[in-house]
Amino acid sequence: MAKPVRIGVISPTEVAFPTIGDAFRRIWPEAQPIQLLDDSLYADFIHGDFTVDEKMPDEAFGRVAALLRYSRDTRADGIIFCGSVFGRLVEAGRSGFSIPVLTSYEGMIEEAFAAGSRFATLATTAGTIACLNGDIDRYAKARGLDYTVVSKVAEGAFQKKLDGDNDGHDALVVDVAATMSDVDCLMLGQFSMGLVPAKIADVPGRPVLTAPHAAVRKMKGLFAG
Amino acid sequence: MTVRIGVVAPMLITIDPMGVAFDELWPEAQHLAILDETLYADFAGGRPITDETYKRVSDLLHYAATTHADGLVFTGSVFGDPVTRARQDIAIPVLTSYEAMIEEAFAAGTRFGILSTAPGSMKNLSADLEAEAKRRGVAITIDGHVAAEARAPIIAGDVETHDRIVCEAADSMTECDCLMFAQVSMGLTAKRVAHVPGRPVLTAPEATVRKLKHLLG
Repeated sequence: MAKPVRIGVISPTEVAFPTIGDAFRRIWPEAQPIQLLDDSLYADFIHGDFTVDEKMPDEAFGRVAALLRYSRDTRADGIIFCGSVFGRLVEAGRSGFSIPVLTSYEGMIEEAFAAGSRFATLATTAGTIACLNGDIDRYAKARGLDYTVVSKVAEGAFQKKLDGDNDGHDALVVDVAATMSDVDCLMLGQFSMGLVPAKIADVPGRPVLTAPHAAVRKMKGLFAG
Repeated sequence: MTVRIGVVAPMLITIDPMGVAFDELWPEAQHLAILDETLYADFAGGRPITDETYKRVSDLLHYAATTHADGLVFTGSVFGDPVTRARQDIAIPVLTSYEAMIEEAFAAGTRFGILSTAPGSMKNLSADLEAEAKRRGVAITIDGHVAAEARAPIIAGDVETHDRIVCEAADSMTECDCLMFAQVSMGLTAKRVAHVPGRPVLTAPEATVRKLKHLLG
């Protein structure tokens, strides 16, 4: 039997693991996702309200790059980095790698541009919206693509998640999602929202995209050929 | 300045027991987890320890040392020798999972009980104790028991079943100067073991936090 494809799943917080694990089980059960956690990235570079400095310090770039190199050297065939605020740092750190390294959003952003050009982004913190929209913008500029985006924060949902009230969190997200229907697709910003789409009312022609599932689909596609 | 301890873990289930020990014994310290599941996937469960194991453990500890940690503990019991080798050129204290507990055991006496949920940990802890006895020139006895049927439940998150099996086994191991729990993941179970006068129950997380606090606090 061939050895399973090993995907290093790097995260700065444990809370991403259940959602990415769910995505692998549904989409690519033959792969071996293997977890690498480093709490220190959040402790050193994320503010208490989950925002980050506009310009991250050089040390943050160095630490993310070192973590990526470490993961690569553990026999990983590919890497998914789950910390959404570190997208720019992952893009810089993976340069020169011979294995695929995905930021948390790029799989989802690719699927979004395949669906159209009028996007909605929904998250539970303003910081996450800023990160996701920034990643979309860099992706579009690099490829000369035009798009529009409308964004909303599901106010209060993040606190409910922290309080362990998942149903309350999901209900607030679902309510806001219902107001964002006239778009080509709706993107959910947090990994912790990855299990919500099943509850969002279906709007024909408006797929709901989540980062972990799109990341696993993209990585699986890279190894299918 | 807050003291920062890097808890370097090869399994997710070893992180919480360390956190609880810090919260109880040294709440002023900041403990941050660094988890890498590949070490167990590649080198545990009876697979050989190779040159690559030494390099990988060394790489992980050196990475952890760059995260502003003031001290490190490695919570996986199978890699004691690679950790001992790797720390030679790391400037901050780096503890193996067992060494603090072994110090406390020798302070308690020479008749040791060991309870483990995996045969490999039993072997490793016994070997570490024998080596320390030789170094000190003292004679020791080891009464070991492997409660292997508790392993699957704790990995699956069934703490109740794990703890019940461990506590029952502990009740039958009273003729010793101290009883050691061989897994970090057994750290939260010690409080549920029936008290036996003159037989302290030692756990790796608590002993480790006490030692780090002594060194750095």
